[in-house]
Amino acid sequence: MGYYSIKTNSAGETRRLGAILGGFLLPGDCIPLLGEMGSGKTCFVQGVAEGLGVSNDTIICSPSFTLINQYSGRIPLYHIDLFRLNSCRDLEDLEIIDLIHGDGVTMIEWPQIVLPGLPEIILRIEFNWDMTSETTRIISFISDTDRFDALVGALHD
Amino acid sequence: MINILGIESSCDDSSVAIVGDGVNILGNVVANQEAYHKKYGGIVPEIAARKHMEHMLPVLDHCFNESGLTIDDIDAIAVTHRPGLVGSLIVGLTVAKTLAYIHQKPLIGIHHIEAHAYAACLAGLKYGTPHVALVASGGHTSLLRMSEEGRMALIGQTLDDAAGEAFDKVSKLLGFGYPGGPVIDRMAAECNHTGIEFPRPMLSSPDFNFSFSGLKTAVMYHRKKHSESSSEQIATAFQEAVVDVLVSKSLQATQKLGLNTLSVVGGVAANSALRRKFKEICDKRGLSLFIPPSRLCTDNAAMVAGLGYQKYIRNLLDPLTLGVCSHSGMILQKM
Repeated sequence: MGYYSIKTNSAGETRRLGAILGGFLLPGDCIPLLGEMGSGKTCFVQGVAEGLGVSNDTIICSPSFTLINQYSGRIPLYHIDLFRLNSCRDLEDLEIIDLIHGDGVTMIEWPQIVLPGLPEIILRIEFNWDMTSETTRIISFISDTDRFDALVGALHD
Repeated sequence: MINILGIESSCDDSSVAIVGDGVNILGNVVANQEAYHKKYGGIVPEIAARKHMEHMLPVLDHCFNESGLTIDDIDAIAVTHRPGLVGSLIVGLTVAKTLAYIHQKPLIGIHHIEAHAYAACLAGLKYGTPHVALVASGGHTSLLRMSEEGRMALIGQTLDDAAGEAFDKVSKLLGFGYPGGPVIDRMAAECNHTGIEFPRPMLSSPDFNFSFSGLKTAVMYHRKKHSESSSEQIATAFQEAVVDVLVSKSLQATQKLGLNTLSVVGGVAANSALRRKFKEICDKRGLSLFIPPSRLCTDNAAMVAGLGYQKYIRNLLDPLTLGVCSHSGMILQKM
């Protein structure tokens, strides 16, 4: 199990970190994002979109209301947010499961209700506050795949 | 009188309305979990398209009963076909197409955001009056330049969270539950002094975009650092910040475009502090302000049927091959 933690000091740094990760992602990758409200998840996904080559004109908004936002980049990005859902029953209604491990990258905010049912997760990311400053976050990458070492190398630089 | 049947199912509310000549609401039935779960047995889940399927036909019947009309009295069928949840939109569109096909009525596809803006015309604004419209809800926060004959341009939007979404999230954060708007509104009405000044995001940016994600973070941070502030005080100060930004940006846009009419629509327009502040400032500056009653601010089919009338009399009809689309398709105009 690989574990790598990094501190970002601003929303811009969180976004840059996301952009680096975006460059490493492959079709079918599914990444749960765990962390409290305001801990930087959507901001991070904005960076991932950039790294996946989604056009700069595209505004990456929070999908809390729409549940899924879809973007076309080098590979498609499905930005999912399950904040409003209470159970997997709702999820079946939405047919989100069909998207996961499909042709694109799936980033899932508030993934708790689906975590037990997700087949293979290449990476999970946790977002935590660092109380030294309002804009500082500690972002942890947890994975047990071979691709992880290369990613950590890139993030480290 | 020309009667248009309107159908709305873009998110979690199933609604059917009949509107005469674009402004006379003859029936407007909305099935949401609060108002209708008793009658239709069980809460309507927020999202599921199959719940729209269960509710759409009873709502349709109810609307005809309320209006005392039959399908023969209907001149055309207007339906929201974008933007929204695809599965939900399809249900409304399918009902609309089926009715249009069987009864040989014209079909009119409606843009959900444009319909929200049209709600101001149900509150007295003359259709085609050039003005700035603020559409603020759980899913959207957009500033629109509305021109004569229904042309609409997106001049500002949120870069992250929608205003209504920020209300819901802060409410949850403070332990007040969902939906957050009404709860925070009530709480703030009783809280006179907060002693808290939250940031006003993007207020000094030269464009008309919004950002509410950082405000949510500021609330979170304040709560962790200042245990002396009550949840009521935090909620009130948060609402003041959101209202301030929405009002200021709308007025900046109105001024920059040289317009003197403003409308405020969408679920967040039901917020009493927002309505009060808009009224106060527009009165002071001599601007005409149109804010529909709350039931026409949240999702409803009357706004769809009303706008449908305007399209119908201009012969802007759609074929039965009309599809749905999740995106608004609007491109932000550089100002």
